[in-house]
Amino acid sequence: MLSKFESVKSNLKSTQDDSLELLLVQVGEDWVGVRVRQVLHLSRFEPTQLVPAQAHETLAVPPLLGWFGLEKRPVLDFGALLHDTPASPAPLTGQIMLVENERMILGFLIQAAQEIERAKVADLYLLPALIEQMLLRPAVWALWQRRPDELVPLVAPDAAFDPAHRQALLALSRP
Amino acid sequence: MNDNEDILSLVRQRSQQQIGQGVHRQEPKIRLLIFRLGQEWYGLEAQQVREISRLSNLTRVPLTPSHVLGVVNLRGEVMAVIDVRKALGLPQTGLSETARIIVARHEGLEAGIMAEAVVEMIEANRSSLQPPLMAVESDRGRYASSILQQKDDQLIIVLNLAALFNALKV
Repeated sequence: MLSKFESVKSNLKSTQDDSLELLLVQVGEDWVGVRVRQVLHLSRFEPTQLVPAQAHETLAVPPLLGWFGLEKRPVLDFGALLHDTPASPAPLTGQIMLVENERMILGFLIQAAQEIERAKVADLYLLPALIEQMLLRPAVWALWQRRPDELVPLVAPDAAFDPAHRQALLALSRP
Repeated sequence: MNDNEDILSLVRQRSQQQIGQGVHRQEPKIRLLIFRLGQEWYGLEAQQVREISRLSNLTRVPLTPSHVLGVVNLRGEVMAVIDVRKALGLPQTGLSETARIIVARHEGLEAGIMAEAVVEMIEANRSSLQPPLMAVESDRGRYASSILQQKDDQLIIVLNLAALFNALKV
């Protein structure tokens, strides 16, 4: 596994003209940035599109909201993942962000997504050392100075997902 | 030889004596930044404090423990802001206009410690610091390096930044 610094470097290295595209995503009252290249698809989401998770499923994977589409893609509550809490109760509205995690496609339910913005690498900061040591999972990889008075945490959605829940999710996904 | 050498040697002798006495008279001092959390007063050694800033433009960081209030950009340097009240067993009440960030450092690690209010900077004799025996079993005692009792009986708990930073990392 890459160290945090290497991860930041690899995220930055692959950018062209010293900038990167970010999708601003609302999580509760806060906004986080997700690299556009890490998102497979973003679409509007209606509660009727979801087969709600059963009790034993949420027990195994707490942020699991249910299953989406014919492919039965797991849908996780992005806010719950980032705040390390169980999935939010209904009503579930917003947008769904599809992300690949080790050849598994995960859906993350988000409240809202703003338009895509281009951020200069020069405006990115590494996390303070103390914060880096305290992260529950290595999903926050940098901070973007969007405006003089606004920092936006940059999040890798696939890394927000607890690896311990992956096996449980794979088992639940089997027909 | 200088005509006044007899007198000058006496003056030099007296001067040396004064310097010697002065060294003995001067008691080692410690400068402390005093701040308030709840109803209690805490101190940090001034040499561990880099600056004091208003609590504004705080950005919450996902996947951090509840004692991490967030990050701020202080003139191009992004700083973690920590609420130490939980570690000290104090109630986490809302913050008012008097709240400040005390940027403290220890062994290359820097963080902003949230204070409900900054009270003053004082200079005290090192000998007046007492070991934190009274509170050693409590959360406050665990993170105290010493206790200072002021003339008005106000107790100041001098924080052990190393112990505090280590505990917060877990």
